Amino acid sequence: MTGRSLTGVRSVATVGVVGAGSMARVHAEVWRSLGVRVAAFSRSGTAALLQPGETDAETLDELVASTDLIDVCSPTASHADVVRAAIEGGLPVVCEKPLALTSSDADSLVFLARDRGVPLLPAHVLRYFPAYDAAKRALDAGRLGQPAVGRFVRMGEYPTWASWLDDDAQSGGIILDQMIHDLDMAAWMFGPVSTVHAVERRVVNARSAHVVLRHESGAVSQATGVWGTQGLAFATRFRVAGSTGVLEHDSRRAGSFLRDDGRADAADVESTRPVGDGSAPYADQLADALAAVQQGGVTRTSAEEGAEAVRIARAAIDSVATGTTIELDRGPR
Amino acid sequence: MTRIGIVSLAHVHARAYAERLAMHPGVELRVAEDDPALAAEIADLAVDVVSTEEFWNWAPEAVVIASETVRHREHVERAASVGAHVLCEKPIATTRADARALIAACESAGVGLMLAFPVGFSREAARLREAVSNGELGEPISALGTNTGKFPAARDWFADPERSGGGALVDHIVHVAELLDTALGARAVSVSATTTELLQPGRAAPGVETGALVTVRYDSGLVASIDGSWSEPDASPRWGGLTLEVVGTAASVHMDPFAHSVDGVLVDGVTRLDIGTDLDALMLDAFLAAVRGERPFAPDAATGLRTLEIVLAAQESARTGQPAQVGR
Repeated sequence: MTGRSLTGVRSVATVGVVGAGSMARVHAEVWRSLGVRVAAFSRSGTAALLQPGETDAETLDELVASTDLIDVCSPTASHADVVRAAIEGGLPVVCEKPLALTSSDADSLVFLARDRGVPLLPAHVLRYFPAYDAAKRALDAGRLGQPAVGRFVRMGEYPTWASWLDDDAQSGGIILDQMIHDLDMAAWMFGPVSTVHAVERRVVNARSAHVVLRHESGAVSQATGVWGTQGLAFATRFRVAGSTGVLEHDSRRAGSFLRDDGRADAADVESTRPVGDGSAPYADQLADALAAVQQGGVTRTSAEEGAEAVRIARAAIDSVATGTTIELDRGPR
Repeated sequence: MTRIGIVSLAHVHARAYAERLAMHPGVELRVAEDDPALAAEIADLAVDVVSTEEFWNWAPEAVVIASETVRHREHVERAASVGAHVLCEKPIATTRADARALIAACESAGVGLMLAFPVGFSREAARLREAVSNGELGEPISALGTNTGKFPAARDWFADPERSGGGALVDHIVHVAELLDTALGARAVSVSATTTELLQPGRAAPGVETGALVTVRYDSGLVASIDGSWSEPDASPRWGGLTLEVVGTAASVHMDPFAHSVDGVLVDGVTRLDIGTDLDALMLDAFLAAVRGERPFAPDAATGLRTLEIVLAAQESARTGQPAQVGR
């Protein structure tokens, strides 16, 4: 397999989805729309995910043995073991963020994938959201001059749909689970990170953290995450400034179709929200992954970048714990 | 007629103060400015511009201090010595010692000292204070403030630490800090500042920050972040902006007092017509009411000192690369 990427080309007829929660269901829908067969394995059962005719694997090993690509959508704490099983089984693997619960696990997965010549594709879907992608392209084209200051906000209700999210030992808390999207985005837009400072406020059913990054280039960026009151509308925004320009976007102002039936109670919040295009970025991301595996190319997020995102998030968590600014330590590469 | 004076046209807001005070029926206005070039900038306002000595001999009853920040102490002390009440631009001073000295001078002379924080006079700020105090927010846990703007090209002292005390950090953090100070009643405990010189290349001296991201921990547990960068391009149709989001356990609010606008494209390019409330006018009215004894001098000196302490801690943090304790 010379003349192609390190990892060669492979045909993908069937994807093995691991997990059966909401993210797994979103991914499964996309695979079906791409014409790929779906099989699944989940410790809590795949009934909510699989459609008639699709295969339920009894074990992870069985899934690896019977499919062409593994898509990891199970809880964070399981990622390292599942990804490892896929790589050792010789299968390319897509893995939902975060790549792993710990930085050392993430690094060892990257090393293992490289060693076995298997594609490891971290799924950082924010890179496929049109507003963020457009800003990134403008930055790369020099339209803002020297990238200098970035600001990212991500707000939503406190997650009650999965109890493991509330347990920092299993999820890494708001920083590793939610804010990692924007930490990865900051690194993608402003380059390698040199220092990380973070503060966090946590009370029962509400949590918020602020993470500030200094980049090797001299640029600075800030990410704010909120897990707030139940029913809080999910909203994201960003502002990126360079020496010659600035761009901003706010999901709350981005609606193209609004409907108001005059009722303001929580049950009807949806009716007054702008109609967005929620699924396209997930479709674009997985289509990219499929093409990369089948044609030997790359996606927008390398395995190393997936591990770097975990590293930044973990440094932020350390900063919260110690009350100090952390210098990012990449150890031996 | 009340004799009101403005000390110096150094500040970018001085002209706006002169314009509004000149229209006040009960006010006799004079401006102290020794630089003829600066005096010429307001020639169209038909306002008396006099020398500094002539100004103090005129014995103003109240003065607006709009000079370079390093000179605030000198001018406030002079005002106190002639028995004039003071409205002082922010930040109150560049050092803790200067701030304490000018506050003491006003106390000894029995004159009022008010800080120029106009945003607090907006309806949005009042609504924020109400949402916190009446429990609507539940417990405030997180705040995100922005106060970004264009490079203050018309007044280069803003980017000269010898005269301003610093760069964007000193210029833009205090407005949001004051809003939080007044709304929350919580006290800042520690500050982390991360700065950059990559914005506005070549316009500020080396070592002067043009971008600043500041994180503040409060004694209530609340965490806040403020962006005080000079990140608005010269070509922008707006001067910049100020926003503040406060997240509570029961609700979140977001204020944008400068959102009131009409936007479009005119022959001279992309345009933004500001149609919001004149906050400077509200603030000056409040100062005049305080001079008449009808309301307290607020935002007060203590607020000015507390917000300065946040800036000083931010500067220390920017120097050391680690968070700094407030008021140490």
